[in-house]
Amino acid sequence: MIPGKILAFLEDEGTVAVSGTRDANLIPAIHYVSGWDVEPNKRTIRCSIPQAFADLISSLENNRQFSLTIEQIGSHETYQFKGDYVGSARPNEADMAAHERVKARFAKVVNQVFGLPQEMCRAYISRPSLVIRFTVREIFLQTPGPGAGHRLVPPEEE
Amino acid sequence: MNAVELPDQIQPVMQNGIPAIVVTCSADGIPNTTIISQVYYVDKTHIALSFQFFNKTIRNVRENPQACVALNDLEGNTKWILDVEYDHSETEGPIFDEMDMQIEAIASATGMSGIFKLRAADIYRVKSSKKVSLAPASPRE
Amino acid sequence: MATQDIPSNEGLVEKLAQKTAEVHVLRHLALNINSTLDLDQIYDIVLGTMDEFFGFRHSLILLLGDSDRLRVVASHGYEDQPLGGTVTVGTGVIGTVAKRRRLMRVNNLRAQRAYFSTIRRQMEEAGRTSELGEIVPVPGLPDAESQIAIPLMIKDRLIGVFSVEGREQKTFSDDDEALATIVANQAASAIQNALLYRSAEERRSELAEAHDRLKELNETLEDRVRDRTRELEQTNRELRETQVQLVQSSKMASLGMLAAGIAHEINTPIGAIHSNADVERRAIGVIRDILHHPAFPEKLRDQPRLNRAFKIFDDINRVTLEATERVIKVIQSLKNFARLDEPELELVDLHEGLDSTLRLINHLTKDRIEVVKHYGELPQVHCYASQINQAFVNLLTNAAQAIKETGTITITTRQDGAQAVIEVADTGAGIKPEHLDRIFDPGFTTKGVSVGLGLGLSITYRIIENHHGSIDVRSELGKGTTLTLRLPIAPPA
Repeated sequence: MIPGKILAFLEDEGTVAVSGTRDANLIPAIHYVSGWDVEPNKRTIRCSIPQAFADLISSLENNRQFSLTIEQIGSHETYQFKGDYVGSARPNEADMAAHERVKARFAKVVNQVFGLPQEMCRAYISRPSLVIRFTVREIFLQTPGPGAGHRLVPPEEE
Repeated sequence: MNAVELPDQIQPVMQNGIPAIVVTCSADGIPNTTIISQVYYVDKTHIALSFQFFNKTIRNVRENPQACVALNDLEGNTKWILDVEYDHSETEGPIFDEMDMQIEAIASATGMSGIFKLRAADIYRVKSSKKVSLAPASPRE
Repeated sequence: MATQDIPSNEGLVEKLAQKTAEVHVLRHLALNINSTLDLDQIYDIVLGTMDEFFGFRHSLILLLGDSDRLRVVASHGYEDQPLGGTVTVGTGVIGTVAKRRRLMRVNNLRAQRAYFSTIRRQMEEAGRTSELGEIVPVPGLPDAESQIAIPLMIKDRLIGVFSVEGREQKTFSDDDEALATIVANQAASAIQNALLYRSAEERRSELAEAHDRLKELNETLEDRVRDRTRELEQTNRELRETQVQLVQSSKMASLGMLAAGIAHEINTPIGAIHSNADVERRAIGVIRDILHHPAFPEKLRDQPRLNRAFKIFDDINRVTLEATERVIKVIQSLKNFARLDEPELELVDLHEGLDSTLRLINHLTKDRIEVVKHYGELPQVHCYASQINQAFVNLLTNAAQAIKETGTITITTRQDGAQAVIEVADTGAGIKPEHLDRIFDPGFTTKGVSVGLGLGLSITYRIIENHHGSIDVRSELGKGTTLTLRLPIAPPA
């Protein structure tokens, strides 16, 4: 379901991620994401959430709506994934490994682009306390520019 | 609901150049998460977002005025989470002029004059603000 | 309560001290920049103060030029001197501030530039390059993170922009903005005053130069007018002389033709008379021989009346021959006058010509005019003898005719370099000044129509002209006239 190019982006290029939910009153909330991984079905994404932003289960159980936006710092390449909450779990080894990969990638890129020390940058990606699983329903291009907002999956009708 | 005053220390955070996060929700309940370049400080109880291109965020707040804004403060590794409500749009006045001027200045310097046109300054009333300090790194980190 | 108050009081005290220091610096700045009208000094004071007291390490002052461009006139803290760099109004932070005439404070320039650059890149990849404009470099830090740009205004008129910028993440605060605004306002006034002063000085200098030039022109005007008048008078004289000569030459050309005609008409009868006179002389000689033949009666031969008759014949014949010879010579002179290509250029003793001429006009001078000769050392002169003699005849005849009763004709000759000079001075009536310019005109005469045709001096003029000489006249009414001939001794090359 998730195209290969975007899978590659998720695997190797995305450096910062945030997610959004809404409650029963349609009031939105922000949840920082400190890691992600795509399950073998290539439709379900596991998002690692730090403790400070882990108060989202009630909203997800209320309406199941979840959106995840991942950006590559520097190039500004950005994708938004909208989908349905499947479940939550505690981070496993694979999740932690994904978290470590993202943290390293983030520190390296921010160091390259902004010159901040990598050790300092690593601290900005907090250890996850929760994993949210959701099935991707739509993928949007969010890279600033002429195509921003364009839906990639499923393709927009001409 | 009465507006909540923003703390003094939030204004420089708005101008630190680190992209902010805005989450909105459509009338049919689908959240939209977007990364934006700048949130503008209007006054102690209001912020503004620039409306240049008609996008999902703009459409959502006109259906459902509720929004959530996150600002990144690198000092102390904190985030500022603001619950805001879309109030109105301005197409003239000091806020609009300031936003428009900044956009024009940067766009003209990058050969993008005419491509970026501020359509309006969307003014949001602050409902709440929360400072979130992220947990310190584990010994392993 | 008291414990809680102390920290806030300390903060207030510190803030007050800081503000007092700032006011002091601003006052000092105002005094300094308003005490000078030198632009460079003003720039140094403003930018130096901004760095030293307020920590604005990189600053620029730009002034608006004639077109829509701002030019960097002062800079502080830049490694690459941006002096002379320009910004188009409407481009970048500085250009937009100039266009909008509003202050701008920006604190995340790098991120914003990166954001816009990303979009630009996206557009390029999407094939929308034609919608993109050129990226024009602007003076200042290429990696500036924060900037305050303030328009320099005098009333409603923009004169320039004042800009401070920094690389640090640290933002310019409201206080920084207020300080920079105060300094910019002060700077605007001082710069405007200095510009006005400079403009006034330049104008004053231009006026002084113009005044000096005018004064010099005035002082020399009279001289120049005088010189010019002299030039014009000289030119006028030359023009008149040329005109006279042209007319003279024209008249001479006509006269030449006339003379040729007259000479031809007279020559034949005179020739006949001369020839007959000669025949008469010989015939009388034959009669004399017959009378002296031994067969002729002696009583008849020695008759006094016969002897008187023979003497009369001889005298008349001699006079006839001399007169006709003279007429023939005059005719020849007339012919020579008409024909300029006479082949008889020869070395001539001018004194001989003068003497023979004196003999020829003896009847005019005899018993009433004393002829005084002052002959100098003169070499022989290359000339047409008959023409020169004709000239002498004319001059001496005129001189004699100018003396009504008694008087003197003085002839003086000398060598003057390559020229022979012959002066003929009379103590006659003199020539009226208004006639002096005309005496060489053919037909002009003061003697009355029965005395002459008025051709003598004009012919003389022509003769001398042909010899590349000159003739001039000086005269004083009641005192006399002097004519001076100058002839080149050697023929012209």
